[in-house]
Amino acid sequence: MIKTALLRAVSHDLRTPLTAIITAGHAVRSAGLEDGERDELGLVVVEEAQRLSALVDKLLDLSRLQAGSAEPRRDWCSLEEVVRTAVSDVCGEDSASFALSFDRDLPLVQADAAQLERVFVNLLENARRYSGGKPVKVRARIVGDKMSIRVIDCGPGMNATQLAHAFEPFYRDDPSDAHPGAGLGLAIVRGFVEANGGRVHAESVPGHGTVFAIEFLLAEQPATATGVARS
Amino acid sequence: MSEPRLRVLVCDDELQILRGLKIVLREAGFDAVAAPGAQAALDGAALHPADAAIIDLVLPDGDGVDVCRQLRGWSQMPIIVLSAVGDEDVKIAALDAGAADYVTKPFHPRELVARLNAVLRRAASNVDEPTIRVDGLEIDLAARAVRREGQDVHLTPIEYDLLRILVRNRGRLLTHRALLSEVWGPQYADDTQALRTHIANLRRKLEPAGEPHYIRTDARVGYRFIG
Repeated sequence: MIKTALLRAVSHDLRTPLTAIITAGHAVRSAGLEDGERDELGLVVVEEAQRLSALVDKLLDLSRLQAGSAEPRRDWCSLEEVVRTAVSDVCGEDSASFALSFDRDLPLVQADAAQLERVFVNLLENARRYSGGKPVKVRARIVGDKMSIRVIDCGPGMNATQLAHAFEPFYRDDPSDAHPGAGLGLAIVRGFVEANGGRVHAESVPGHGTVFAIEFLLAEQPATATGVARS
Repeated sequence: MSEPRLRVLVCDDELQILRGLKIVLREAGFDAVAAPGAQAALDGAALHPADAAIIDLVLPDGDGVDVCRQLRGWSQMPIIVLSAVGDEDVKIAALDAGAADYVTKPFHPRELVARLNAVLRRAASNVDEPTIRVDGLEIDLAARAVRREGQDVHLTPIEYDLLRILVRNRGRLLTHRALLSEVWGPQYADDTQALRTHIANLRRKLEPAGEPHYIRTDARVGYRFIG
C-alpha cells in the first residue's frame, strides 16, 4: 500500500518538475529566443530544482521517521524563534502571508529545534497553499499546563473523512485538485511533533478553514533561561 | 511564400512546463496556444480551432480524459496526452477517448515534437488508399491481398482485419480494447489473450526474422503499426 502510494507520489511530484527543467533546458538552446525569455527559462530551472529539492527533503524526513532513525536532539528552545525561522524559510522577507501572535514570556520547550522547524515549514506551506491568499494566523499561548500553537487558515476546510486521514502519508483527498503536493507534509508534522513529546490534531469546518493545533506539556524551566532565550 | 504555421493547443496546469513547451514548439515551427486547465482548453479549441492538441491528463478543473472525449465529439484534430501517471489504465482511457498517442513525463521535447509531427502527418494523409506500401509490405485493401517482398502472404480473415485496422491507423497506438471491439465486437473487448495470439501469428507471417518490424507492442496498452 505504502509502496504504491510512494510510486504514485514519485511518479507525479518528481516527474513534473523534471519535465519543466528538461523542457526549459531544451528551450533555452533555441536560436530565436525573444527578450527576457532566457531569464524566464533560467528562473524555471531554478524554481523547479528548488521544488525537487524540497520534495527530496520531505521524502528523507518521512523515510527517517518510518525507519525510526529520527531521534530528536532535544534542547531548550523558543517556539517563537522556531516559528519565525520557519516563516522566513517559507516566504523569505515577505512575511505578509502570516499573522503571528505570541503570548508574552512564553516558556521554552525541550525539543529538537531543527525538527520543529520542519514541522512549522510544512504546516505553514500547507496553510498558505489552501488559504486562497488570505493571511494565515499563528497563535502561541499557554493553556493550563500546556503550550499551544495553532496554525489557522481560511481555506476550504476538511470534512470528517479528510480529517480522519489528514496525517496519513501520501493521503490526498483529490489527487487532481488544484493544490499540488505529494501528501507528505502532515505525516512529517505528526512524526516530528510526536517524536518530540508533543501532540497534534486538526479541527475544521468545511468552507470555514482549518486549524492545526500542536501542544507541548510545559516542563520546569532551566534556571537561567526564563525569558532570556527568547529572541 | 512560407507555409502557414500549424496551431497546437497545449493544455497543462504547470505553467513552468507551458513556458518551455511554447518555445520548443515555436522553434519546431508551430504556434502554441496555452491553456492552463480543462475548461480553458475546451474554450480555446472552440474559439481558435487548432491543428493538434497536447493535453495533460491531470488538470485542476477536470480530467484530461474527459477533455479528449469532449474534443473528439466535434473535432478530428489529433490529440497527444501528457501523463505523469504510472497507471496504464489512465493512458488506455485517454486513447480509448480519442487520443492518438501519449508521452510520459518527463519526456524529451524532441520526442514530443516527433510524435506531434507523426500524428499530424497521419491526419493529413488520412484518405482512403486502395493500396498501402510500407517498407517491402504491400496491402491491397480492395482485393484483401497482402504481399511481402512481392510474395503473397496468406492471412486468416481475423489476421487480415487486424492488419487492415493497424495499417489504416499506422503510427497510432491502438488499445487492446479498440482492436478487439473493432475485429471481434464490443462483447469481446477484454479478450486480450486471443488478441495476443493473433498478433503473434500475424507477426510470424509478416516478420519472418522474428524481429518486430511493422507491429510495435506498447506493453499493457496496445499495438501500433510502424511505417
